[in-house]
Amino acid sequence: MVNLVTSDNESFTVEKAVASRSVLIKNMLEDVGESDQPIPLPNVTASVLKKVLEYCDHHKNEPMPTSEDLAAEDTRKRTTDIGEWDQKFIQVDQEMLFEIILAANYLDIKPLLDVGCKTVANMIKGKTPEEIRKLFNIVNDFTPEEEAQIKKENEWAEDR
Amino acid sequence: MVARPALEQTLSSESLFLIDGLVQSLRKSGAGIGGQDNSNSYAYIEAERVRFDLAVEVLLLEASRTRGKRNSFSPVNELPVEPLAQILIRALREISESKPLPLSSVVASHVCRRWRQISFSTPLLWTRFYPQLPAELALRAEGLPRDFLILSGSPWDCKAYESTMLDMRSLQVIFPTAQNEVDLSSYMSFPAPNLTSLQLSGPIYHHGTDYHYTDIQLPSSPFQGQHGSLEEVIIRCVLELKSSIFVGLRRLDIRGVPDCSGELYEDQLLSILTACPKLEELAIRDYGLAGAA
Repeated sequence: MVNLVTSDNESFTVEKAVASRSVLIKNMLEDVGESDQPIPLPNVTASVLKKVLEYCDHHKNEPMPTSEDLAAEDTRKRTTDIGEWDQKFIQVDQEMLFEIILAANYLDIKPLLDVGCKTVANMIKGKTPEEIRKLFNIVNDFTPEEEAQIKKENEWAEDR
Repeated sequence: MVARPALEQTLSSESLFLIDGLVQSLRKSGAGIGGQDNSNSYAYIEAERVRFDLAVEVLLLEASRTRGKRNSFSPVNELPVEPLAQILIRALREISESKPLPLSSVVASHVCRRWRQISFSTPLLWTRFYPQLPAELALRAEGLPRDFLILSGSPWDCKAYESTMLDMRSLQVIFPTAQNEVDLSSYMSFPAPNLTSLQLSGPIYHHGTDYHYTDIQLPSSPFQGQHGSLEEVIIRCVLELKSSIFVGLRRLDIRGVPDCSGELYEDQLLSILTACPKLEELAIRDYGLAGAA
């Protein structure tokens, strides 16, 4: 078993197979060897780690993706398809969604990072800049100079 | 127009005082030039306009900086560059056929300054190339292999695109309207050693109706026979599989089978498999397999 400690000082004891879905933790375990020492995760809160571990537990028996798998994923067309279980898993509010992506990036869990990125990609697909801003609570922060360039680019797009 | 009461509610008395002072100062800055009252002259008014425009520009720049800081609190903008770039690549790779040109890349770069900076530093977002693409946008791909997109019927000068086509990674030809006969040889006259994907999309073909479909002719030996990397052909039109292009193919995704009235018969399936002896993956959409239980 592996003991993980979150940024808000909560401990999680999980199977090694579950924790090792994270390449970061897997490498740490390999470096340290057999040890009872808890692994601190200063960039992950308890609520997010709980979600991440739920994902890792569900996928613990699947083979780790190879670099070839990742390259193939890059070249395939249907890049925003998400499995059924993963779709339900990732139905969370926006804040949690981005926290999960951040955690997956930090913990180096590529498949989870992919699920998060695909979900956000699906959210923005086909939307206009204004719709995307509204979706993510972003405001137009372009300078007048950039606005002029953007106007020109829109004219190119209309001229096509 | 900003109402004075709104300003008074939002700004501190010090800020209000400074704004009023700035306005007064900008109005008076040119007074008394030449010792005459020329406040109604064109030159005076024009100089005043310039002073106000410059002051507005300074304020707009400051407003832009503040808006950027506000945007950094949006959860999406807390993502590091790499995951956000990956999200944009994924979202933009699947471009609908109704808006096939690289508008989506432009869209991402028009959201906010951070997205624009990330878009510009991600050449993969700009690999889509079409003949009328302005050079300024084309350069953003920074020499990466291109994903060519051609609207059949639009002006086409293959010589002009020779060097770009030689490095083409994918080719999508779209036939926006039904045409009697389309010859693709002018799009396939150069070697395409790096081509991995070919997509031909016509108007939607409905079997069982009199819908007129485009008869598309593939050259018998396209790309001068040099398309060794081609793995995938996606067909969204009616097309005879009579071309050397299918010989080494590993993936075929097809919608629109000639002489097929809603059901695909064994001999038709056999002819597809015969045309593509190295096929590993076949997807046939909108057709039932005749005789299948």
